[in-house]
Amino acid sequence: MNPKLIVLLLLPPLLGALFLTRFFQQSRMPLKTLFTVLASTATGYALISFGLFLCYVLQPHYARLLTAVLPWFLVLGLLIRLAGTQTTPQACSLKQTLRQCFFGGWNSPQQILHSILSWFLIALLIYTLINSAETLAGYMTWNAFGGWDARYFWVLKARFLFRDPEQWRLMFSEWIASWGNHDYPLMVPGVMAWGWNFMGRESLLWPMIISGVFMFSLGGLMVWYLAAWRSWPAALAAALFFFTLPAYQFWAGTLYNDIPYAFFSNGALLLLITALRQKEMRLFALAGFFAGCAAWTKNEGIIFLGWFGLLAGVSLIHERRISHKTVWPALGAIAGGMVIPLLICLYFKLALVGRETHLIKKSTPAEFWAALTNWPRNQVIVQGFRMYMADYKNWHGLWFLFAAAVVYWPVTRKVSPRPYSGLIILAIVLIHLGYAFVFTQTPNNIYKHIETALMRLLLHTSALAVVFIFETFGMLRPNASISSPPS
Amino acid sequence: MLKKAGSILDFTLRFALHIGIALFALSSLKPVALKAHPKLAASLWSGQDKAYIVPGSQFKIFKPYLPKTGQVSLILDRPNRESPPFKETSYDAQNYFAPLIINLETVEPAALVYCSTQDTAEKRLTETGYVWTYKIAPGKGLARKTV
Repeated sequence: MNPKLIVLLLLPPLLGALFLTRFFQQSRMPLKTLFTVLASTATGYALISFGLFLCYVLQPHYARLLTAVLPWFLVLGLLIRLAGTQTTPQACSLKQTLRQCFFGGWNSPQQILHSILSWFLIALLIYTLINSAETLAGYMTWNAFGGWDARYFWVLKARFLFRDPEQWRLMFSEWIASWGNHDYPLMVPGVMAWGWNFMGRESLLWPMIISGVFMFSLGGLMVWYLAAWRSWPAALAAALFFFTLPAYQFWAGTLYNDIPYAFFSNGALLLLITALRQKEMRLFALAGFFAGCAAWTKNEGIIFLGWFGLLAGVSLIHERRISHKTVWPALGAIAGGMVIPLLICLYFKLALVGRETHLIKKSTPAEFWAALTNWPRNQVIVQGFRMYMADYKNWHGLWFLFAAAVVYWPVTRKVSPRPYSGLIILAIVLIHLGYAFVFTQTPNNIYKHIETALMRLLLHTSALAVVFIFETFGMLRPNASISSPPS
Repeated sequence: MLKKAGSILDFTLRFALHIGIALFALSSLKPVALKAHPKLAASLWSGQDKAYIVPGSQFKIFKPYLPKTGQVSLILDRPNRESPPFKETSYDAQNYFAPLIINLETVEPAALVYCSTQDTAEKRLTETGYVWTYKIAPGKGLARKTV
């Protein structure tokens, strides 16, 4: 194996882990160690992408050198910062919950069954992960250049960044803008270019690794959340269900950016729920950072930022248990977390791209209203959602289970309250409404647009739906309250 | 008593659901249909990618004659910009030559001609107002705008 590749594989998780550790040092977030382990690589990629973009904007002449040394400086800086600070213990530790899950005791049949189920699920999950990794690797090696969007939009941007850092702005050339979606943000192309800069060549393996990392990190995110707030059996069963979904396996193999986007947007929402339950400013800030990362990954992230802000604002303002003194600092923490990603996005969109996106045409208010109230077309959009969500081959009945969980949710709320879990339903509904709105205004052929985009758009919310299903129907921790993890 | 029975029923239903989902997930797993070919995998891990043909590499013949940046047009067999083969070939060319910009309109002073036969190339040059400046192979070469 290429020794440079080993460094490429190790540096982002190291950087991400140090960044998250610094964030969590004063936090009591449940299973923060697990979150750090599972999300460190993807978080490291985000930091590297922001760093690369700043180097290219500020010092394109030295960009190659700067992007190579910057992560090392960040690692060093974080190590120095971490050295002098004390760590606050987490609300429930990984070791403690694992012991409770797998060796929960033999006092009652429920405890015994709980442990047996956990062992059974972990064995199956390991088998599923191996199968999933093998399927993905097989698909990727035979389709090394990825799907259409990957080849002609995402990887093309990375080539501009890698081949001539001084001329990288040529990617905004009007001739490429006519077909190349020049306004797509640069999270993943930036990570690709960073790896290629480091290796000195356009390695085909590197984009595959990035795609695989985001796919497994997304699964990891739901394991963390459900293990922290529900139980290990629920987390393991959710991961088992998720990793057998053909939709995710297929689209991870195409090297599209929908799964990286799903990682950041879903992570933002799950961190927001955790922050609201824990009432911790640091977690609000991290949720804001993840939401900003989502906007730097795909254009859909801009819409998500609006929904995220709305959900955070409404939750905080209507939260009676939080005093008004806490509401504004929490909103400030969210804004603080997203400020750097958002400024980068704004600079990219306004100063560099500067042209309208072709997904929504410029129209007069009358044209806009006519498009919005075009009922035959709206019917096609609704039918499209219905058809793609009901696609059993891709989703294994996920959306039916989600509907059942939504119906059952009010019952479980009474028995075992799960504060803020309703945000997941709201987020899914709002995100889908946003996409439906874009479809109403699209200048493209509606059938073609739905056919090429809708299945991928569902990837953005399906992992959240899995989380909600297992938070509703999942096993409870033996003798544990749901809203507060054991200390 | 009733509460305990309810709790046991709740536990049983949730337990059954987990087992059901686990078994369903297991049954939906199929043997890996398309395994990674050892030679392809080795080529990727070595970092050399020699087992792969890079899309757009058919345009390699032009590389020695082109600047690193600038703009050139591309003349292909099919003038229809919406046809998938035209799109695929021209986008592959852009990927291959970036940061040199490939203009899909035949308006640039210089153009790359990549046609399947000499006759088609001559026909397309006449249609687009270009003349040969350098022929590299039959139907392929560099052209300049005349009007």
